[in-house]
Amino acid sequence: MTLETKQHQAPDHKGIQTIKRSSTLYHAIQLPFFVVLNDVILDGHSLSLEEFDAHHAPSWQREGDEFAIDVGTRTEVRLRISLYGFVCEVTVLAEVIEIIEDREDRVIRFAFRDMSRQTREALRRISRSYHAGYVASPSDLLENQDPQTLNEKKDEPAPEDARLKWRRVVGMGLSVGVIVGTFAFIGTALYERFVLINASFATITAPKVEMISADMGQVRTPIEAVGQILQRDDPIYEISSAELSSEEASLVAQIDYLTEINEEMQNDPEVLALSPAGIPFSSPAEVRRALALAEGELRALQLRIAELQGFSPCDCMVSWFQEDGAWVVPGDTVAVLARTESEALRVEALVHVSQIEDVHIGQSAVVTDEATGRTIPARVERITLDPRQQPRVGFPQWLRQEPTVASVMLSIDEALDPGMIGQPMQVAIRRTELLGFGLAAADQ
Amino acid sequence: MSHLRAFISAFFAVAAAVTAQPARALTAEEAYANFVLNDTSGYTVTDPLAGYFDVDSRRDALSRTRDPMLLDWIDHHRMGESCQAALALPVLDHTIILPGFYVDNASWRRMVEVFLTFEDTMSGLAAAEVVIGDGYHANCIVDVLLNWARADALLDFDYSTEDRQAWYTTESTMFSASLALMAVRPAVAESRADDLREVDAWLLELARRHSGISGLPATSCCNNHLYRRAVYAMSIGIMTEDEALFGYAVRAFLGALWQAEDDGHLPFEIIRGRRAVHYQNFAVMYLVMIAEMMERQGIAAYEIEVDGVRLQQLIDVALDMLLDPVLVQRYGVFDEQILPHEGDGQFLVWLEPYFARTGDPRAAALMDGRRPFYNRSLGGYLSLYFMPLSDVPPS
Repeated sequence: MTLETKQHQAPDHKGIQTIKRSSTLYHAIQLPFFVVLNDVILDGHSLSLEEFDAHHAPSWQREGDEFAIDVGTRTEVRLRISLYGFVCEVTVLAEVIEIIEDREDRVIRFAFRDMSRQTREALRRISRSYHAGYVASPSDLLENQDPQTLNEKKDEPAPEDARLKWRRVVGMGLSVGVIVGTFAFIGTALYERFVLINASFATITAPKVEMISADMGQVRTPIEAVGQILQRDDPIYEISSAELSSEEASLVAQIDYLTEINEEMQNDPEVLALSPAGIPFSSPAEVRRALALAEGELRALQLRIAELQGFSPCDCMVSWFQEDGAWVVPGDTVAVLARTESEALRVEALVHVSQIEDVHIGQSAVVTDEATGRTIPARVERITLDPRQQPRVGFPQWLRQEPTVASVMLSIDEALDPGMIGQPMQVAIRRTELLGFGLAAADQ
Repeated sequence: MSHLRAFISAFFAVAAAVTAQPARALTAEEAYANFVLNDTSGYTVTDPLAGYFDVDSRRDALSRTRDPMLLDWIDHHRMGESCQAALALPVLDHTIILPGFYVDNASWRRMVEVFLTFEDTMSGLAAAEVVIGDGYHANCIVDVLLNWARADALLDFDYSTEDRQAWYTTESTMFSASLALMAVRPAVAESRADDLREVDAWLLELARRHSGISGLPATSCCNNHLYRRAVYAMSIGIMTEDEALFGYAVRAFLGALWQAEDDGHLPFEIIRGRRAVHYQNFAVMYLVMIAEMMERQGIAAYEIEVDGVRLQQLIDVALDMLLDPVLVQRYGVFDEQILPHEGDGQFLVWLEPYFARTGDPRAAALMDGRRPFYNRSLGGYLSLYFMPLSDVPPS
């Protein structure tokens, strides 16, 4: 393929274009090319913008002729330069300036004496591309500006410069972002360390009441499930105790006997009467006393029996209960009820005791719902080292028994959802004294 | 410190030996005579619904408080009490005889538990009504007392000069019921008027029968037991507008001031040896409650003076000895003192109304770190009712 060099047009620069003269353009390049003379074609050896040389032995020669050329010969030659995939042919006027003989293969040096501007521009671009590390393509010859080189400077940015600029801006932005992020991280860590007290655990809790078994027995309960809502005075459980029932029957029989004896002795003080233990009574007063004491014992027993029945003291939710048929001993919890009206609910945080001295009533805090990420402003309402002072449901029992945490109750201005009892929350309490807000003092 | 105490002991021992000998000991008969003859004219019931504190005002303050301790107690009492459970308790409708404390302690404990549970129930219902104010617990108190009234409960208590245990025990049961009813009465005064008439009649009969026993020749005629009887007499007397009962309580109060020595110590309490400090405090506890009820009737009880002695002097002696029990030696008592108040806050419950009225720093020192104070029979949750609410925002 032969490509005629395109007519070079001056680039449409708005400003002054300055191209630094590059010495590399005058260094010979080693592209394959042929030097076409009238009757002979020589293999090209090297080429620069000033001169070119070729091997003296022709690669093609018209038959019968013998090639001969002398120094000083001026002739029109065509240079067919092989580029990748195409051939660039230029016509120039050249002069033989030297025939180098001291080599096995003689070389003829030509100097360019005349060439068109377009030809020179084509040669320049080919040479430039070569020195840039690649073989010129047709587009390199057609473009109206050179490919970038390190030595080139232009007053106005080329399109490639704009992209580079944006890349630089983006890169700088990223760098700034990383720096700001690092400082933010450090700042947050310091803020949390010195300004915030983060609770170890936090959730929504409700006041509770524990129903305790007064005696040993088997539980009968109408409660079916945790979460069941009870009305005030609803029966919760009944603990059946055969032992107490037996004692009651025995005491009733004893009272009946003593009542009878008492009536007899009222009528006849001399009548022989034995106590339930088999000892004779000495006077009616003694019988009367024994009867009164037995009645007192019966009331005491009836009290124990009455305490085996549990009734709901409030409109409450069942938080825990002994299954129907379970056996309990005195002191066992039979049921746990929670008052779940929203005014009774609080966010409760457990704070390590080492930090509790920095927590005060009235301090502001931030509660974060871990499920939704929503933050709610709150205020410290109560602090206690002994959770038994604030019997509430929400935390697991093992956490309540943890001796290294104190309970901090927080009030919130909005109604809390009873369904959130026991759901994990995040609580951060501000150390107001460090910031000098004096919120606690203002509120107290 | 021990050297200082030894020196103080020796000093008071000598002082007592020099000064105490000529004084003649007050007899129970003299004290009772004074009690009977005290003039109570001018002291009268003016407001049968006044109670021993302003319930409406307190309920309003509690609803707005941000005090952490009060919020805990409010949470506790807002849980409420089941009236079914209260009504299931046994009624003491039999002849009441209690075994001797030292004769059969186990049996005594079992039987006394019925009284104590009733007192706890009354106090719990009253506190729930004060906090919640929905009338449920007030009605429940009436229901329970109506059951007891219709069963003539407590009326048949045993008394003899040899065995006074039932007489003593029923004192506190009576004033636990009357003080609870007093606190909630305005809520049910109209709606339960008929039932209240029955309850009042029972309480009156019970109070008259109980207070009709002098206790002579024992000092229980005129020592702290008299003031305990005066507590129920005053509360029942106010609610029923029974001037005789009210007068009984006023006479007991005046009698205490008359008995007291110039510095305020009560001879019948100081003679209790190892419990001298405890009983001075114990007597003052009931006298303060009587004074509070009198104040609610428009009587300036704390200003009443008998032979130069006012209630404040009795209180001063109690407070000073509670803070420094060795001071009891100035009265010739050198026994090591048993101090139940150190392990049981019920004996300091009177400090709440007293401190609310006076702000006495000695009371504050004794109460520090020990709230809440609860006395199952003497009004119940007095910290809930009287503790100052400096944190309450303006309404």
